[in-house]
Amino acid sequence: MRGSRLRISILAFATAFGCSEPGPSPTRAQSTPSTPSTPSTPEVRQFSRPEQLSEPAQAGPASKVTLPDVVLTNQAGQPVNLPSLVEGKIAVIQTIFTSCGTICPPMGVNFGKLAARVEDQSDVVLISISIDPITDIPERLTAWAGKFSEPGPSIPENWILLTGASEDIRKTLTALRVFTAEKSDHSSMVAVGHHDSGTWTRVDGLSDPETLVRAVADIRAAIPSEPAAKSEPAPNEAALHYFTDVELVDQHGESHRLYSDLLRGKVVVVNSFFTSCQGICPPMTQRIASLEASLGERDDLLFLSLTVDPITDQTEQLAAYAAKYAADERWLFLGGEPENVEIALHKLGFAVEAREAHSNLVVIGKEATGLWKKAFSMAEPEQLLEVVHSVLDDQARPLPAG
Amino acid sequence: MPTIEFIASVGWLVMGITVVASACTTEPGPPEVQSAELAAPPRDAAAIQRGRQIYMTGKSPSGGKIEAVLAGEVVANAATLPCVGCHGEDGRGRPEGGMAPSTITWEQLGKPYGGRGRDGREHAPYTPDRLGKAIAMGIDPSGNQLLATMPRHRMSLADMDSLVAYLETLGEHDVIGIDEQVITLATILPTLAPLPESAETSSAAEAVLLAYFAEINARGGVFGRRLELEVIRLPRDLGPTRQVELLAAAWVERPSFAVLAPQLGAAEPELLRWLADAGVPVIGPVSSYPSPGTPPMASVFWVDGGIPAQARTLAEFALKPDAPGRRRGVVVFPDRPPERALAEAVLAIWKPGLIESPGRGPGLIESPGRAPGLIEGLAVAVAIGEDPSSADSLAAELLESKPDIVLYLGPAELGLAALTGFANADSRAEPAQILLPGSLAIGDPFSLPDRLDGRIFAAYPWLPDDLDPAALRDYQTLADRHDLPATGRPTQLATLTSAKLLLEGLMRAGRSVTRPTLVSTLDSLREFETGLTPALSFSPNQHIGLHAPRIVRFDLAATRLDVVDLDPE
Repeated sequence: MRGSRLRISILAFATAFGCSEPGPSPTRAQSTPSTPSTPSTPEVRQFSRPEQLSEPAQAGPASKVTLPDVVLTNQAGQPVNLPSLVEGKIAVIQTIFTSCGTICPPMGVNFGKLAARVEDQSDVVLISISIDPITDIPERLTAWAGKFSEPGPSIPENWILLTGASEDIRKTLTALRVFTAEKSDHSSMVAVGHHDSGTWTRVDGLSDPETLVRAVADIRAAIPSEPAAKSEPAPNEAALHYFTDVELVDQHGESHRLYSDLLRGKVVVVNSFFTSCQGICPPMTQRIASLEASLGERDDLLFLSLTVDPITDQTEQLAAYAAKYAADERWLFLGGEPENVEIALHKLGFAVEAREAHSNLVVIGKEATGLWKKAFSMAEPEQLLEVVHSVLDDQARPLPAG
Repeated sequence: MPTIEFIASVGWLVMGITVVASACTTEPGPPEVQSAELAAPPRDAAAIQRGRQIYMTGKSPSGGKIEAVLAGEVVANAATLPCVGCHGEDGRGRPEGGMAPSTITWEQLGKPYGGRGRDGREHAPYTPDRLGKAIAMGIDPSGNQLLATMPRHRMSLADMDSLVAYLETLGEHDVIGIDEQVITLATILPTLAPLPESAETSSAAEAVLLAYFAEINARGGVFGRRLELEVIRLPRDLGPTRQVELLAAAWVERPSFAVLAPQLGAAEPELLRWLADAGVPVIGPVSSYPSPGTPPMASVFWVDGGIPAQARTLAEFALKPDAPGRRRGVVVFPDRPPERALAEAVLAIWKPGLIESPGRGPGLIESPGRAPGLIEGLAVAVAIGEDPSSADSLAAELLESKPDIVLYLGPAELGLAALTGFANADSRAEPAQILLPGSLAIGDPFSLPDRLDGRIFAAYPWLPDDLDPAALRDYQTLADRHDLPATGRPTQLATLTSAKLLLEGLMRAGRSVTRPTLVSTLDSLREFETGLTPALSFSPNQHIGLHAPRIVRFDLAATRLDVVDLDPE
């Protein structure tokens, strides 16, 4: 009895101190994050949480954050516009409150170390936002950060602490997706991002400063070099790659490249049909005809009707059909080599197995902004018109390349 | 057969030991024997006290270094993340932000059948040595790594022994100054001998507290606990450092849960700082110059803002433009640090951005009032204990300054004489406005020259119409029943107000009250009616319960006080 108990205690002793080096091994903490931990090794499992949480830093931008245009108060009591504070910078943002005992002190330690570590990186700004702005007056923020600053107590210039009106703080936290009703539930997440390009990622604030340094480096690498030019002439390589430049032939026998001639720089209203269709096609085409008539002069507007039966619908059939609906110059009825038409239908979302199954939807798109909408072709004319106008008026910035 | 088996198992054992001993260079020596089987060693009260300090503050009592090593080998000063932050004063853990710190009461850790962490892993029971290893190396008794959020700690062996000694008591007796039967509350009063003038108020304060506690105890106490009073007397003639030492010594002897209505005199800042650093709640110091600081000392709560609050209210009142154009204001103050700071604060209210003027000698601060509508400020210092005969020179100085406003913070006798001399000699059609903080009790302002009729204003923390007659009757009943002294009545009422405030805090915090829960309860106390003052409200950044002193005007002709409405809207 006594012998066996003693043996158990020796076993425990051997496990504890016999063969493994005491204290957590730094190599484990820095092991490749993408490799899942082996469940049978308890030591490794210890470190799996922070690593998994920090994974997005390696995986690249995980979220899009738009900081609200609010004026907050810094630790010196001065008003600070949040977007201007982070303009042109890589921001590392944590949320804290000064009376928090459990997770905020280690987060403060990490920011103190990080501030010293990135001192020479002038494009990096550290921001701690109080989630308890009523209690956390600037004096409290100064005292709090002073404890963690190195050498302290003066707070390094690249570390800004913010408080403010509750409503503005709530807006900011919501934008950062860390708002919680109870302050004790607050997140240890740190948002790392480049405000100008909207490139953001999230890292566990309890992981060590080097993880945060790596996240900053990853964001810096992910910043698009120059925003895509606004002017139309620059071809959008991605769009060209997607749509391709297959050749289609219109009712006049003229050839058009799909992307370069028909889509690029244009707003298009696209439908699919076939000339021998007796069901939905005549009323649908009629609707498009009246839609076309109700839209004024615009040289960037094209109506494209693609046949789903390119073998039957040769140039003559298309010409006759176009004449029936008095189509003018900006309305093209398109056929061509069956495999080309097949590709075009597929790319525009009209591909079908049998011609009778063709879609009764209209696709309205603006290549310049990348906005594409679908509408039911038999909808009320006003509704259809409204959708077309919404695409015509779209002012969104061009999509960045890639 | 059994014999062979026994031998075999012993042989295995010996082998095991050999293997362990040869493989392991970090921890030589024989395996530990479970200390649960040994008699508990005698406890070292001083070590427990030192350990508690480490637990609460992360600072070494011997001044040594204590470091916390976080994930990624990040080394931090342990004072920035003391044990209590996560594990709580009671050792039961404060879950926050997705972290659930372990319960580390000794009852839990020392269970003879081991325990199970929040991650579900089982571990052998803790012994004091194993607890030390967990704190230093982050390894539980079964050799498992603790969660990475628990830092490893580097400290001297002596500090570790103290900390472990304290942890062995953690959870047994959670709250200092409170047991099943009694809540011990201290008050700090001046010694009776050297300064007889304070003896009267001092003994009156003690008497009113004893009477009030007796009433509460007769009604069953607070959640079944009796209130007991511990009186600590400090000699006022000693310096602040010495007084702090005496307080610390008395505190080790018999610590109380909280301090109630102390009268601390000139050493107030130092004594309160010591108590606040020790986390002791201090409720309602009876004080003329409260200095909570920004942000306020976390555990100290004042009832009213004293002379500073009254002087600021008067300074702001003087800014209200019933007299257009530029005016000159003079602050007269005794040359001591709190009064000097207040004089500077008043000048800052009148004219932000004051300038120290070296040409006018010590005690003179001048601010050039350039903007119209602001008050050009001047501060005149008077020496402490200046005898009333110097009233003539003060009156002459005032006359020369030609002030439109005089805010007087000096001693009463000197003030009456100097202001009388100044007013009589001042030939201007519009004599100066005289502003007096009521708590300075400047003798009898009605004796000032008639020229000043309608131009003397005083600020008080409250006026008689703010008080509840029922509360005053209650005080009278208490005074009659307990034969309270007829003297020092204002001090008695102030002390009683503090006691009512503390009782409210204890009632609201509940039977399981701790110092932190009492503080957070008072931090969120709003509109508490004491009956002896206007309603008190506190917040984490506002540790003075009364925010708006009242102002009265002296009607010298009718010997009457007229209340000034500060917010006519």
